[in-house]
Amino acid sequence: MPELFRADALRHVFPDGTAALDNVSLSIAEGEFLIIAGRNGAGKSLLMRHFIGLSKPSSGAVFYRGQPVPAQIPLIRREVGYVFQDTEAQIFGQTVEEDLAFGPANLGMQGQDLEDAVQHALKEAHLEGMENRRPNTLSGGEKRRLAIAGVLAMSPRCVILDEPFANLDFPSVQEILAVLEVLRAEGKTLIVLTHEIEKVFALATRLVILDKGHIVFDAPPGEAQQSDFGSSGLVCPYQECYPWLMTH
Amino acid sequence: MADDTLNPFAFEAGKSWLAVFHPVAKLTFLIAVASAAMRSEPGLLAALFLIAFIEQFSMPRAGKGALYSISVLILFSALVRGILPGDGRIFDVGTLSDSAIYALRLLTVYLYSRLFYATTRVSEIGDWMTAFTRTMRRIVGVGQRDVSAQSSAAAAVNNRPTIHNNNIRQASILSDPGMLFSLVLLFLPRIFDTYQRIKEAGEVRAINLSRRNLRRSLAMLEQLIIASIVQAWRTAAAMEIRAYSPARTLRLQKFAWGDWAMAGAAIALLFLAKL
Repeated sequence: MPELFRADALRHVFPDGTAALDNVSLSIAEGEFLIIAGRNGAGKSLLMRHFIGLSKPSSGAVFYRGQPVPAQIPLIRREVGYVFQDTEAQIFGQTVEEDLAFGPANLGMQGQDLEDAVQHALKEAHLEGMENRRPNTLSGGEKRRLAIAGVLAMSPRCVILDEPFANLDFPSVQEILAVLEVLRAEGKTLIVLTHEIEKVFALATRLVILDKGHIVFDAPPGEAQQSDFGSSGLVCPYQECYPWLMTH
Repeated sequence: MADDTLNPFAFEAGKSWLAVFHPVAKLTFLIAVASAAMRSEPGLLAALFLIAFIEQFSMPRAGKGALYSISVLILFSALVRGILPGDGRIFDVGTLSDSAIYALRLLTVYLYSRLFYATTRVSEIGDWMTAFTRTMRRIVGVGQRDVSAQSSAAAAVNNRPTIHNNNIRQASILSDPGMLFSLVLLFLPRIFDTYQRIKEAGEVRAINLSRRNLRRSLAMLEQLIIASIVQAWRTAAAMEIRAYSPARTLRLQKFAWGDWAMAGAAIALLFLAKL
């Protein structure tokens, strides 16, 4: 599959001298379902901010479809959807329908095309029948799905989700996973940033673990050993890691 | 997010038959009815009040915010009409009947305003503001590329919508007052919500802010400002990710026969009120 994102020796140093990303090299191909895992502050979100052009590297370079990210911003905005952890900040409409129309309208869609984009996003995020609901009356899981639908309405080829399971109960997590399965079946590139890897482990095709600004693991999820998780502050997703659970 | 039942002007889609009308028609009617309510004879005033009052039942419950506003209106009316009547007295009880009429006028304007705002999306008003600005800019020949890009921006590349070119993306948000207006109204409840959370966080740590301790109040204000800046920064990033462009498509509702009827009713009302 063609390469979508590439980071070459990417380094990001904060003003206080802390290297939040240190010599990170990573290539992401189209169609991958990638988990970028790591404890809080590992640099997951920052790495993605570089990929979508919201941050500038201290050194190194980031590419989108083989071209430097700064030159590809319009293409990235059209092809890459980013769902922030703080979904409230991402909601602009007074109703669900109005919020979903925000992105397509910015892309210049009009009339029936815009309505179709909204309806398609509603269906994909399982939000049918909620068009006229006010976003602040939605549950946490529904808000998260609205934020996902907001980017899906723009027909992205790649969707990046930052901590999509944060603060969600089990049914809401299941709803998000159902949406991810639909997107995976459509062949979209999915990048999930999370420290709750056990929730999405079975769906992913590749696992990257970041720790203190370095990539410490990069392989298919099944190849990860128990020690890879523990040393990075992550919960081991394998059942054998919890033998006491089997006794009941 | 703040509970909108505290906000009597919060939008409630589709709960009232007024929701289907064009925002400009509703605004024209609101201006006419407000003018009539402030100047008309008691008979017409009572009729206008009754209509607005009945229509309130098609709306969601008003909540404490509306009751508080109405109480303030009545108190304000009593004070304005009764205080310092000019004959040496501080308050004149005899003016209370006038106060009641005055309160009814303000209440009628309040109820119609609520009907207008609760049945009109902020974006509907905002899109018309931006459309007006674009028209004016076109007339004076400023930013024509912003406006003309609207149709070309939708041209498809591989059956996918294209984004505006960089010149258009760099157009100032000042050319999109509707979005500024929407953002301001979006932020107000969020800032209020942040204030509530900071206040509650202080209270659970035994900081009683109601004691008007200046140092603590300033600390809270500092927290509020920082939180608001962070929120604004996140919103800006989210707008950027969702490809915000001042040349965005405006979703303008067409003027239907019902809207013309409402505009006609507004003129008739002004005539009836002898304005």
